[in-house]
Amino acid sequence: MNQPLIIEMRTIAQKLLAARTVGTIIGWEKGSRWYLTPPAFIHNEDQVERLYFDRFAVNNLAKYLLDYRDSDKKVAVFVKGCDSRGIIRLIQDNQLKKENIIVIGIPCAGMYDRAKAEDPENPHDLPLLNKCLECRYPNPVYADHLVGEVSVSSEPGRPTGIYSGFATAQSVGSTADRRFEAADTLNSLPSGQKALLWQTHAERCLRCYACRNICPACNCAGCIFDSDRKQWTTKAALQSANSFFLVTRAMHAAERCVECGECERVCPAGIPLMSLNRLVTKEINRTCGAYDAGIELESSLPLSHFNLAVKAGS
Amino acid sequence: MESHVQNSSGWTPLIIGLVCEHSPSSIVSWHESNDPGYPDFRCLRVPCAGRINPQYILRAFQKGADAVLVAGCPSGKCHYPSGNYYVRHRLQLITELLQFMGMEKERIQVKWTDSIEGEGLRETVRRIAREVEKMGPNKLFKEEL
Repeated sequence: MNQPLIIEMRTIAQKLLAARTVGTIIGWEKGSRWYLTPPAFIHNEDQVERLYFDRFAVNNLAKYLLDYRDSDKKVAVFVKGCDSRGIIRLIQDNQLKKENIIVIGIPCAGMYDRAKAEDPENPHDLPLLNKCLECRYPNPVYADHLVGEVSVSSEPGRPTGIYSGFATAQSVGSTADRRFEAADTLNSLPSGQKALLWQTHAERCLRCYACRNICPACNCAGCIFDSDRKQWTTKAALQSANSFFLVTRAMHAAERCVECGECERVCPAGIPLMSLNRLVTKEINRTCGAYDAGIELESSLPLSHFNLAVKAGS
Repeated sequence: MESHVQNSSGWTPLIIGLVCEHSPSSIVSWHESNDPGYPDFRCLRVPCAGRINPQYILRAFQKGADAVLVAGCPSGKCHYPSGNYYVRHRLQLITELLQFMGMEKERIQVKWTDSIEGEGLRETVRRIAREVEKMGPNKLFKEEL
């Protein structure tokens, strides 16, 4: 059912490559399993047939743009709503120049949750990922080109484009107002229980840094966890050091987190990282006023600027 | 560091202070105390509360602190007019985050000197120590090695 969209994607990729406007196009291709649609990097016109899109194309492609930061040719990237917020974040952090990238917005009808698949033969009955049910920006917030009749929108809203009816039927964004609930429930536990819970999570953490590497908010050239000389913590994956990493990651992604949920998806230990991010986002909304990261290029960050009208907490 | 008289359980709370050197409370001298009941209070004086990286608090717990006291100047009274404006939300954020991870809220005390000047820094530290003694030593984030 994605066929018209895929054809449109391939056409625009073909056009951009033929005109020598871009050197690379970052999109998705069909993987080796029915539930895999990994990223694809297209360099030649004869490879555009690899481009594919379905409801397993969950990867946020924004971070890959950093690999082409020093490239002398432009890079084009396909974005869903959440990915486009990541791109805004990277431009705001001066990691990318707007002129060096071409952003192609595509309509998103939510991504399927493979973990909930019971019948591999019938993948169309799959439920959506939680992050898609909680999605507030299903449309690209920033794009140079658009495919699939999607429209750019920097307001929270309903999905647009050729699959908008399907997306609404799949209840994309239906629980957006309740997205802080899970974190709130956790937070209401007594501190002893919370400590125990996070201790077990920290014990499972491998410090593989997958969450950091995928995150469009974590874009420092030199991460404090990469160098022993900075001596913030040991490289050994001990429970205390892992806890330190979990808190630090959430702190550093504060005001930057675009709630794409990629950290939690890539975590091999299944640590609920998004609950930390949600708590931070909620706290920023409470203390600094309503703020969504990665929506407007010119917006100022709530923690990096101060507003005299906002009262101090204590 | 001089040795401190310990309480009956053989443990004295270690309290780390991150104190702005321009706030009046930092003038109070705590290290010349002859009071044997005074907790192990070690103070890091910073040029401005705005200099405090939220990681410092975490670092203190890593190195064995039982409570952290952050003291800065109240709104509108910063020596470098706006340092405390930048830091207030960050401190609130790290406090919330640590509480979410299971830290008791008494262990992280963020005070704007208005609230300290009444009782004085020494008395504030004593009060924190009394609260912490009830909860026992902190184990969260403490380094194993």
